[in-house]
Amino acid sequence: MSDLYPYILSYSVSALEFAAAIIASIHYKKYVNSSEAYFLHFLWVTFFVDTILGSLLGLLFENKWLYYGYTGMSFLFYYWWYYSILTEKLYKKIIIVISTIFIILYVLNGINVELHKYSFVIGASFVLIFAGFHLHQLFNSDYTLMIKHKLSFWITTALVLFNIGMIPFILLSKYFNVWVFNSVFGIILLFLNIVLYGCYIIGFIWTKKKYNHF
Amino acid sequence: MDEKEIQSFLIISSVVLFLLIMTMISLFVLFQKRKNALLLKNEFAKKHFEQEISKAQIEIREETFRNISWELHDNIGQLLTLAKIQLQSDSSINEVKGTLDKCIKELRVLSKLINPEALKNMSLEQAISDEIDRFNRLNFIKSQLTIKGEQIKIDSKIEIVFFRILQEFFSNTIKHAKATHLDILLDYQTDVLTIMAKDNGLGFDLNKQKHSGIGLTNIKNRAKLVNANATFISEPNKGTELTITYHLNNENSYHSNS
Repeated sequence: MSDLYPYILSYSVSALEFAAAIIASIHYKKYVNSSEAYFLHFLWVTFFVDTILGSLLGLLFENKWLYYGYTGMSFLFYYWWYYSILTEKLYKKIIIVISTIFIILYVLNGINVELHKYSFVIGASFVLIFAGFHLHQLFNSDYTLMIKHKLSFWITTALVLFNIGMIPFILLSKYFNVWVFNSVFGIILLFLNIVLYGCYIIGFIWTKKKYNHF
Repeated sequence: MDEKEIQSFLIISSVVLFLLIMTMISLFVLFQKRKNALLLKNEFAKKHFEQEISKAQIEIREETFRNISWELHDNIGQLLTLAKIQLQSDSSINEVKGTLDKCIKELRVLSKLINPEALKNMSLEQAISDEIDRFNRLNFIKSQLTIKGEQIKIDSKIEIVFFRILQEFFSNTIKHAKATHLDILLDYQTDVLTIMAKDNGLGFDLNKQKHSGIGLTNIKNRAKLVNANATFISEPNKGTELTITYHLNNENSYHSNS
């Protein structure tokens, strides 16, 4: 039974990704005119990379590199998304600078497999900063009154909760020197994924077309 | 799983959970607070809007009273005085009858104009055209109203504001501009209503005009209140032109943005 455990966890995460992608496709019309539209593609790419490519390529060579590539791509996608939805010029400039720093650190860390985790921590911290910018922007607009219908709010909440959990999770597991991805620690990962995709799913279902136009 | 692993699992999961819960609570509290503040602000803006509408309504009423008083004194009063003089100077009965007939006719027109029921249900076009008829009837100024496009009904509160703006413009034209002609245009396009009022009076230098600055600002602020835009074009001796543009599809959002 304990051998099956990691598989169950891994399939559960795939199932969550699949559910989020399906629900995003069903409600696509509601957010087609906004930058959030690219989340549909992003979610499907995530599902394919994680499930199909992950298990196929895993047979040929270590899929650490695949996941590292995917991590980099996903962070850059989030940065690009925040760049497109933030209206203040200063925020946009900060995003460009920080994204450049991220790319440099990402490449440098990429050489050493041991440092891959830190790339994630750095990338996730930057996502949190941009999410803060976006929350600040929402906060100062009339959207606050119907925030639950705003898709970008739900995506940002998902990213904030997921990353705020992931950062200490990765740092602490390193500190306690336990290998997290193949043991019961996976349950924390699954929990964070439930939060992440749960927020996405709620966002896609609750959002209304008239609030998604930038 | 050994004891060390269990321990670290417990620590890590509690830290992660704690952070998640704290973030959720702070997000919720922050947005809830902000939402209440915004609701209050909107409520206040709505009140302000209603107040401004009432103010415009009162001003229109005052202007109407002023007009009645003026008309009673200078028009009907004059006709009655004329009739009296005619009687005293032994003019023919027909002449006196003619004067009295004219007097009664003027009185009827006036009474019809100031009937509150009629005023309440009046459209913007009707109100402007009555005003213009009055100008022409009393020989104040030669005025003309042109309506282009298909008329679209707009919110009566917004009509009140537009009418008050025009009334202010007319009263300035008559009092100060020494104009002989006044042209008003209502242009209904698919999504924009343009109201243009133009006189051929003295005009003024927009940059130098300080004393009537308050009047201009007042008109502009009133227009802004209903999400319309008011612009003045004027040059000394070339008349004054006021243009109000109003987007017809933003009617529903006027008080949340005001």
